Amino acid sequence: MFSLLRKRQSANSAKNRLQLVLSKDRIQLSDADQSAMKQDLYAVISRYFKIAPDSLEIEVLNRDGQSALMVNTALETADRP
Amino acid sequence: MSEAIVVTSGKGGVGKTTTTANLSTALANAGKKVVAVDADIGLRNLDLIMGLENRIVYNLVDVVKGRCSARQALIRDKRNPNLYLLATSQVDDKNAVSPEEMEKLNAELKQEFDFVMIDCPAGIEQGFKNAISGADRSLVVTTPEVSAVRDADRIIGLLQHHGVNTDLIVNRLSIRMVEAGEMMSQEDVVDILSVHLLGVVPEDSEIVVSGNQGVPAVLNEQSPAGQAYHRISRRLMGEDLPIPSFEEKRGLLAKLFGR
Repeated sequence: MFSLLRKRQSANSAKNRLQLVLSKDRIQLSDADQSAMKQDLYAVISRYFKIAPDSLEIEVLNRDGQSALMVNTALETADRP
Repeated sequence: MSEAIVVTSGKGGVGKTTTTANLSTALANAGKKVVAVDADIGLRNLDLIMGLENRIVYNLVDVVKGRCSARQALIRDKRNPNLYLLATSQVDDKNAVSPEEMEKLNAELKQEFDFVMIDCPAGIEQGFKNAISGADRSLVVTTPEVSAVRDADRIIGLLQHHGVNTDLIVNRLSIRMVEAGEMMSQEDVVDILSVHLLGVVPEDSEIVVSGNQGVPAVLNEQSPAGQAYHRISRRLMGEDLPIPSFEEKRGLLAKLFGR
């Protein structure tokens, strides 16, 4: 009864999971290289900003035949280290 | 002007061969001269889906290796004199031909035919590289499932890298499941892949029946998938035939079933 009432809507989770995994696939770097690049970026950015190492996300967006590398990270504070 | 169109997908089992057979048949029925080329060397199937499996004498590898002429290897369709099949070899492997050889074959076939429809093998290896060589454009087939869409994205990237124009076909869409929120809609898939949509083929059990009989579903007016392929073929010929959005389709369905 309870499971009948619960709406699964798995299409949404398919779409969200795909968008995440494709943003990583499109980088076209090996898993090891991706992790190394994250570490390098973390090292560079944390010279200027306080960030958490696991908050760094990299992805490649494809729109209309153009690709863009996106690096996202939350700042712990706007203060310099 | 003739065109060589490769039908590809990355993932296996999403409907490349069915799409190739149906679009080739529909284009030939519209009066175009069409050759369907099975480029899936070692895993021959297009002949079976087109019902021509008992007529093969020579195959693609024989032509490429100069063991016979293209004319000798072409098998004329049982029903439509405009439609021919170039079957593949069941005993060779993907490395039996090179991209250069496929390019040459395509150029030769384009002199005789309005459309050269190439059924590409699954995967991204040599077979894929061969099949897309000399193609003017590509149709990427996917189903609304996570694995098929992910592989389609990879294939689209590779095709763009090779400078081949890509259009998308979403196959086996179940309106009932999309409505229930348990399947991605055509809009969801297009949104993820950001590629031009050429058509949507509904889930249809008639596809199994047509495969069983070796008669492409476009020849069956009762088959929703067959009729969808018919519309896609008209778009391939340059007709501006709009694709109804999922919402519009649902409205039509509601009207038909009075709900």
